Amino acid sequence: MTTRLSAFRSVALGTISVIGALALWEIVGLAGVSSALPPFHEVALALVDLLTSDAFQESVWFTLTAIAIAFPLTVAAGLILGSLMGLIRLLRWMFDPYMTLALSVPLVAIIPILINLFGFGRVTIIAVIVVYTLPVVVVNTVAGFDSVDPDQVAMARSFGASRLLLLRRVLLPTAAPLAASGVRLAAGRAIKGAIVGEQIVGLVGMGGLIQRFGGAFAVEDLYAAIVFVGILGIVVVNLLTRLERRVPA
Amino acid sequence: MSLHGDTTTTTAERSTVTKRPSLSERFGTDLPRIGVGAGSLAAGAVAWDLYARSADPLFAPRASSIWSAFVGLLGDSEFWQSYATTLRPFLWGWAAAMVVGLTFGLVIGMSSTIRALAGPHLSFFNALPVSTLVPAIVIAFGIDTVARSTVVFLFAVIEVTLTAASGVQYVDRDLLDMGRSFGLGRVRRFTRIILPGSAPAIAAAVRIGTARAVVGMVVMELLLVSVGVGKLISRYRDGFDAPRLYAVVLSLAVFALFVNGLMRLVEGRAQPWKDDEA
Amino acid sequence: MIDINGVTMTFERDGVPFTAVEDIDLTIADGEFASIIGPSGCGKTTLLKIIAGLVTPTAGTVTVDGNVIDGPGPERALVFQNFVLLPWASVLDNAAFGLEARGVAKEERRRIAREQLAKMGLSGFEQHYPRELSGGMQQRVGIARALAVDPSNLLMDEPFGALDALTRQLMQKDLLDLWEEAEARTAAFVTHSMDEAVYLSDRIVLMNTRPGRIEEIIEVPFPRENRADVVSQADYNEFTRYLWSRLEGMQRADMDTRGADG
Repeated sequence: MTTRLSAFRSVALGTISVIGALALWEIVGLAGVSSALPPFHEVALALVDLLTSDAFQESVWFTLTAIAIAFPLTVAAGLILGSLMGLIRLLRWMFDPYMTLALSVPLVAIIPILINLFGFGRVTIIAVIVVYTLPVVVVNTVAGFDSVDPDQVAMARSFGASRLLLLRRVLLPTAAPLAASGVRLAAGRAIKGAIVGEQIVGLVGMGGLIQRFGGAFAVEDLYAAIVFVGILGIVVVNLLTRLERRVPA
Repeated sequence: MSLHGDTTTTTAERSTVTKRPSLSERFGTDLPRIGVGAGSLAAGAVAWDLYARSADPLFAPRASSIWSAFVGLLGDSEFWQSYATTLRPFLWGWAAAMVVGLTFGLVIGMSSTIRALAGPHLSFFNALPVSTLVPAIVIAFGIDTVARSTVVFLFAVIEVTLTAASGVQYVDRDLLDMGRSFGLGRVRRFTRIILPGSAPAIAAAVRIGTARAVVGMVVMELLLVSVGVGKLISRYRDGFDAPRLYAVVLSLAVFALFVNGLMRLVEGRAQPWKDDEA
Repeated sequence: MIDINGVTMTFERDGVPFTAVEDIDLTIADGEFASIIGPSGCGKTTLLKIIAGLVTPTAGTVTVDGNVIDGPGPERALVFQNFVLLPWASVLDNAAFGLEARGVAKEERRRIAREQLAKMGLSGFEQHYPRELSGGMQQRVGIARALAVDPSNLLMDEPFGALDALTRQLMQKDLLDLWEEAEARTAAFVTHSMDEAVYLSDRIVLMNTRPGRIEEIIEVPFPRENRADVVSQADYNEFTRYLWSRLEGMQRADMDTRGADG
C-alpha cells in the first residue's frame, strides 16, 4: 500500500503538479470566474514589475533588515539560554514556564501590546521577531541537552574527564543537531512573525505592502507579493536545512 | 523525504546533567520544580509591576489595573458577546480544517504518488505566512462569516494534513506485511492496521490543528476588525485604554490555554494500549 | 508441500539491479521441517517472503500443495522475528487475527484462538495487551496466531532471533514438542543459528551469498523423536561443529570480498 517512489519519479510528479496548477490558475483566471482571481500571467508580470519598483524594494529591505538584526541576536541568546538551562537545573525550572507559555499561546495576540509599547516602527517588528524566535530556539536546545545519553556521561566520568572535556566531547555534540533544527524552525517563524507584525502595524515592510495592495484591490500586485513571500520562505528554510545537515549528528 | 518539518518539540522531563544529589533529589523533583516555576512567574509579575510603576501607564499599566480591568470585562456582557461573535467562524473553520485536513492527510500518507503530487504545494503553503492570504480572502469573500471561517480554516488545515500524513506514513511496515500474509484485503488493512496505528498522530494533528485555528482566529480578529474581539482590541487601542487592552489580550491567552488543555485531555484518551511513559 | 522452481529475485536500488536470490530449486516434502540458513545477505528472508507470497519473484514459480501461488494463501502462515502483534489489540484478538482476516465469525475465531493460546501455555493472558508480555510470550502469541488458521505450511522468519538465549532454548524445545503433534505440517524455518537448525530440522538448506543461491542441502542424520536426548552426544556435536565451520567459512569469505571492494 505505501510503496516508495524513486527520487526521480517524485521530482517528476512534483514538477508536473506545479505546472498543472499554474496552468489551471491561468485558465480559471482567463475565464474570469472571479475578479479576485487574475490569470497567472498577469501575476507573473506584476511580480516582475514589482521587483523593479522602488516601493517594493524599500519594503523588502525593511523586512529583511529587521530580520537580519533580530534573528542572529535572538538565536545567539536562545542558544546560550537554552544551553544554560540544559546544564543548570535551577535555571531550567525558572524559565520553563515562560517558554511553555510562549509556545501554547498564540503569539499574534501579543502584537497589539508590542505596538502599544514600541509604536508603529521597526522596533516593534524586531520585538515581534524576538518573541516569535526565542522560545523555539531555547526549547529545542534544551531538548538537545535532554537527549544526552547518561551512559556516555558515565563513561566519560569513569575515565576521569573534566567538566570542560565532558561539555566539549559529549554534551555539545549531542545537543547540536536538535539545537540546529530549532534554529531552522525559528527562521520560518521569524519570517512569519515579521510579516504578520507588519500586516497588523499596517504601514511598513512587506506585510504593510500586502495590506495596502489588499485595500486598493490591486489583486495582481497582491498575489505577486504573496508568491514572493512564499518563495522567500522556502528559500530561507532550504538554506538553513542545508546548513543544519552540516552539523555533525 | 519528510514533508513535515514544523513541529516544535516539547521538553522531556529527564534530569539535566548536574551531579550532586540535592535536597530535591531526596524529596522527589516535582514539588521543587513547580515551586521554582511558580516563583519565577510571580517574580516576573513583580518585575513587570516595578517597571510599570515608573513608566507611563498608557504603555505599561500596573498589574493590579490589568487585573481589575480583566475582572471588569468578565462581568461585561459586551465582552462575552464579542467572544460569541468570534467563536462562530472559529468553530466553522476548525471543523472544516479537521475534516478536510484529516481526510487529505490520510490519503497523502497512504499513496506515495499523491504525496509526490501534493508535495510542492504543501511545502509552499507551509512556508508561506498564512496571514498574507487574508487580504485576498477579503477581496474574494468580504468580511462576513464565510471569509472569517476561511481564514481560520487555512491557518489550521496545512498542519493537520502534514501531521496526519506523517503518522500514516510511519505505520509499521511489518504490521501491514503481517496483515497481507493472513489475507487481509486493502479496506480491512486500512481499518484494522493503518487507522489504529496512526491514531496517536491523528490525535496530535487535531491538537496542533486546533492551536493553529486559535492563531487564525486571533489574526482574523486583528486584521478584520469590524466585529467581535478584534473590535474590542482596536477600540481599546485607539482609546488608549491600556489596562483593558492588556486584559483582552490576556483573555485570548486564557482561551488558548483552555482549548489546548481540552485537546491534551482528548489526546490522552487516544491510545489506551500504549505505555504510560511519554 | 512446497516446490520452488527456478526462482530468481532481482531488486532495483536507485537504478542499480541487485540480485537477492538466483535460480533457486528446492522441494520441501509434506511433513518435513526444513531450515534455511546462510551468511548475512544470502537472501534467506527474501526466499521466505517469496514462499509466503508477499514478494513476486522476477523469474520462476512456487507451487504449494499442488497450486502455483500468486500471493498469500490460507495454506501458508507466517511467524515473524519481531512478533508483529497489533499493539492495540488484546492477546486473544491478536491470536484470532488470522482467522478474522479469513472471515471467521467472532465467537468461532475466539474459541479457536483460546484453544491455541492454551496449547502455547498462555491461558489466563487473553485480555492482556502485547506490551504487558515478555518477548517469549509475545512470540507464543505469534505462533498461536499462525497455527490458529491451521496452515499446512508454517513459515518462520528467525522466530527466536529477538529472544534472549535462555528463552530461545526453551522455545526451541517447545517447538520440537509441538512438532511431534503437528500431523504432517510442513515447515520452512529461517535462522542464523546452526545449533537451532540442527536441533529442529529434518533437512538443512545451506545458502551462500552474492548472489543468493543454494550451496548445499544437508540431511540431519539424527531421528527427530529423541532429538532432545541426542543433543549431548559426541557425533551430534561433531556434526553441528562441522556445519558451523562451513557457515563461518562462507561468512568470512563474504567479509573478505566486501573488504576488498572497499
